Amino acid sequence: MPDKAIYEQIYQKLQSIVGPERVSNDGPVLIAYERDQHWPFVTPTRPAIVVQPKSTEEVQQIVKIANEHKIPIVPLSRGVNVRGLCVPAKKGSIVIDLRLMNRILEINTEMMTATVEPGVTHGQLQIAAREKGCRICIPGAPATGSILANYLLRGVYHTNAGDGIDHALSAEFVLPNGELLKVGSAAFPNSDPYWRYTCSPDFLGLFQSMPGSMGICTKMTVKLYPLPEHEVWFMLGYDKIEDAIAIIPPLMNAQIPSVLWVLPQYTLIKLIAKKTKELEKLRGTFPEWTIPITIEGPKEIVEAKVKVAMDIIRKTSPPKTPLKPVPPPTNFVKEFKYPRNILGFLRAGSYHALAFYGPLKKYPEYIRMMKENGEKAGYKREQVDLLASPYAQFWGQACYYEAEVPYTSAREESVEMVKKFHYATLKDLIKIGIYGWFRPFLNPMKLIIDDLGTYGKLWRDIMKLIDPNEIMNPGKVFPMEKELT
Amino acid sequence: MADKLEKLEDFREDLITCGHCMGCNVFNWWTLDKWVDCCPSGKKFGFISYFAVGRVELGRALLEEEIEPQDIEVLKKIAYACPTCGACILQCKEFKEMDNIAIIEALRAKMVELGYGPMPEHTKFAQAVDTVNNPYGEPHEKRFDWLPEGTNLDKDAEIGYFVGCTSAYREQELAKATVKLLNKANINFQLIGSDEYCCGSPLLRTGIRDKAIELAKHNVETIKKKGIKKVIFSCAGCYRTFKEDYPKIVGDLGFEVIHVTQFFEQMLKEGLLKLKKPINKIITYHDPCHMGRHIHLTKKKIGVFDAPRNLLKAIPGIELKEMVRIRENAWCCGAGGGVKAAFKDLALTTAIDRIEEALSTGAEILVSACPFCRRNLMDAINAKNASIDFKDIVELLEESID
Repeated sequence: MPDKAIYEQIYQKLQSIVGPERVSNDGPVLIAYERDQHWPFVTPTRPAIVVQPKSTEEVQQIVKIANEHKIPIVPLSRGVNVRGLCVPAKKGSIVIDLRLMNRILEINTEMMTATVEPGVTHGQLQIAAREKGCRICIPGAPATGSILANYLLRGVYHTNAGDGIDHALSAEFVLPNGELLKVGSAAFPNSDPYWRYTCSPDFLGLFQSMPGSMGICTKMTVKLYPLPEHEVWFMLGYDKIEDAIAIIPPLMNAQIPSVLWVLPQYTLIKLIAKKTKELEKLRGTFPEWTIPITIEGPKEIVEAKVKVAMDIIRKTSPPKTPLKPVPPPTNFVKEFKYPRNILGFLRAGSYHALAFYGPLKKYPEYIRMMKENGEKAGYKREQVDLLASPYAQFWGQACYYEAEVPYTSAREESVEMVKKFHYATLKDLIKIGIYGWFRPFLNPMKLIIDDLGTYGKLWRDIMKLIDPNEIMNPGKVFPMEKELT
Repeated sequence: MADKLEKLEDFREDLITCGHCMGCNVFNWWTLDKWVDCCPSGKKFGFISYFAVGRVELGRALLEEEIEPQDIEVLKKIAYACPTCGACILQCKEFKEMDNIAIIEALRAKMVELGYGPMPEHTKFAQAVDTVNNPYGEPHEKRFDWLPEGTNLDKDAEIGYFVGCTSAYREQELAKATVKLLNKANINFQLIGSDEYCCGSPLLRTGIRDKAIELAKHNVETIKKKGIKKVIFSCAGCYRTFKEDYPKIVGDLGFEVIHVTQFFEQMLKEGLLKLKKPINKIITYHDPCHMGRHIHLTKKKIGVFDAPRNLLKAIPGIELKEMVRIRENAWCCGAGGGVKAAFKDLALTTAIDRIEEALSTGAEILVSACPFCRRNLMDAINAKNASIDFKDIVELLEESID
C-alpha cells in the first residue's frame, strides 16, 4: 500500500478530474462503502477514497492514476450489493461510485434495444421502456439496482423461463490501463451496438459474471422485449416437491411459459406480505409449494398455449389447487413487472441467500440435504427454503436455485447458525453436483479453486494479462493469498 | 416522568441489519409509475453517505465507536445536512419498518450528548430560545405585535390558536390571516398569549432535547391552565411537534391537537364554512412534510393530505393542478430539520426543484400550509425570479370566505 503522501497526491489528481465535490477521503463519507449486508461473511473494509465520475473519460483518467500507483479500485454502480462484491478486499482501495452516470442514452424500438450507463436502475429503464411499448427482462431483484451491473453479472429474472439468462448485446469497458474496449458489434468500424456475436470469440462473455474484475463497464446495449398483448396466470399449489417439478420439463420443452418459478410457501408469503407481522400469520394458508406460471404473447397464441399447458399439467401432475387461470395474489403481478416487494425480503432480518445453478432433477436431493444441514445448525426444517426457476432454453434442465434461512446479522447466535448452515451446504452441494455458483462469491470459490484445473489457470492467466497490476476489484473472483490460509 | 424519545441505542438492530437496498433513494414507483428521486440531501451531495442508508451506517459506526476525532466535522455535516423530510422512511417503513427520521433525530441527540453536535447555527437558536423563548432571538414581548386591531378574542374559549415563532416573527401575514379567518367564521377562540413559548421543534429536530422537553412541559401546562380543549395550528412544524413529540414527553396532553385545515374542513363538511368569493386562479398544492408524511407514518394516524385539497376545491374559481410528487410522495421544500439555518444552499436548491415542478403544472399560485415552507419556497421563487406567487391556504380561505 503506497504511503500517505502518495494518497494525498492521488486525491489532488482525482479532485482535478472530477472536481472537489465528487471525491472524498473523509471517514464518515467512506463508512457507507465499507460493508454490505453480508458482512458476517465478507470482512468490512473501509476504502481510502471514493470518487464519483460522470463520464467514461473521467473513469479512464481515474483508472490510469490507480494503475500507475497499483492501487486497487472497486467499481460500484448503484450500491445495491450483496456478497461483498463491491466491498474492498484490500485496505487503501479507491471506490469508483458510478451512480451519477445514470443516463438512458437510447431506447430503440426498431432494434428493440436500450443503451444505458451504469447508474441506470432497473426501475428507471423499465418505466422508460414501457412508455415506448417495451419491457426489460426484469431482474428478480430490487428495482433500485443497476440494470447494467445485473446484466453484466448475469442475474435471475422473473421471466427466466421465457427470456433466458443473457440480455446484454454489446458494451464498452475501461480497462485497467485506462484504454477503452468496445465489444460486440460496437467494436466494428461504422457499426451499431445492436449485436453481440461477430466473427470473434464472445468478448462480452469474458467480462460477465465478474464484478469489475477486468474492467469497468461504462456503457451497455441491452435487449428489450415487447410488452405482452395478452397474458394468463396460473398459481399451481402442491404439497410435495416431486409432484410440483414434474410439470416443468414438458412445459419448458414445449416453450410455453414466460414466467415459471417454484416458490416454497414462506418465499411466496415474503413476496406478498404487507407487514412483518403477516409473515408468520400467513404460514399454513398456502400450499407447501406454489408454481406461478405466466403465458404471454398475442391472444390467439396465448389461448392455444394455455390449452396445451393445461393438458400437460393434467397428464403429468395435477395440482391440489384448481387447474385454471387465476388472478394471482395482490401485488404479485406488479412485483413481476416492477420489483418492489422483494425489498421485503429484509423484513424478517437480514437476507442470506446461497445461490447456484443446477439441474432441476436434483431439486429434491438439494432440499433433503439442506433441511438436514439446517437442523444440524439449529433451524427447524420448515425454516429452510429452496426456491428455483428454470432458464430458457431448458437444455440440461438448467435452473437458478436460491437457498434461504432466516437470520439477522445483529444477533451473534443467528450469525453462527447461518454460517454453520452455509458452509456445510456449500460442501454438500459440491458433493451432489451443481453447474456452478451464481456469481462469484468468495467463500464458495475457496472450495473449488484447486479443482478448476486448466480452466482455472487459463481464467487467472487471462485476468493477469488484462490486469497485470491486479488493481481491478481484487479478491472478488479468486481469493487473495492471505484468505486461502 | 421520563421522556419516551427514542435513543440511538434503541435502534441498534436496525442500524446493523440495514440491507442497503436503496429503497430510501426513490419515491414509490408503484404509486407514481415514475422513477423520481426522493432524497434532497442525497440528490445534492451525491455520495451514498448522504442518503438514509449512509446515516444509518453512521449511527452504527457511532455506537460501535468507529468514529475518530478527525471525523467529527464531516460526521456533523452528514448528520445535519438532511431536512428530515421523511421521504426515505416512507419507503423503508414499507419493508424494513425502520423509522429513519427517529433514527436521524436519535443520531443527532447522541451527537449532542457526546459534544459533537449540533451545528453552530443550531446552538445560536437554542441560546435564543433559552433567553427569549423563540429561535429568532426576537423580544418575547413582541410575540403578538402582529395581532390586528379589533381581533375578537374570547379568553374563556375552549379553542386556542397556537401561533408559533415563525408566524409570530417572520411570516406574520399567515398569523393575521388565521385570526381574521377565525373571526369571519365566527369561531370563539383565544390565543395562548404571553406564555406561548417556542414549541421546541427546531431543538427536537436537531438533537437538543433537554430544553425542548422543558418547552413541551411549559406549553402543555399553559394550555391546560387556560382551559383550552382544542388547539389549532397554522404551522405544520408546531402541529407535528404537539401531535407526535409531546405525547412522548408528557404523555396524554389533555387537549385536542388539530391543524387549521382540518378544523375548517370539518366546518365545510358541516356546512358552516361559506366560501363564496371566487378566486379565478390555477393553483398547485405543496404538502408540508410535518403535517403529511410525519403524521402518516405513525400508527393509526393519517397525514393531513385531504383536508387542504378539499378546502381548495371548495373555493369557487380555483383550478387545482397537482404536481407529480404529492401527498406521501411529496418533494420536501428543503427547510426542515435545521437545514434552513445551517445549510442554506441545500435548502434553496431543494426549494428551487419544487418551484420548477410547480411551474411545470402551469399554476399561477403555489399554495401550502406551513410558514416554514412558505419562507423557503418564497426564497426560491425570488432566487429564480419565477413567475408564480405563493399563498398559504389560510390566506386563500380568508379571501374567499363570505
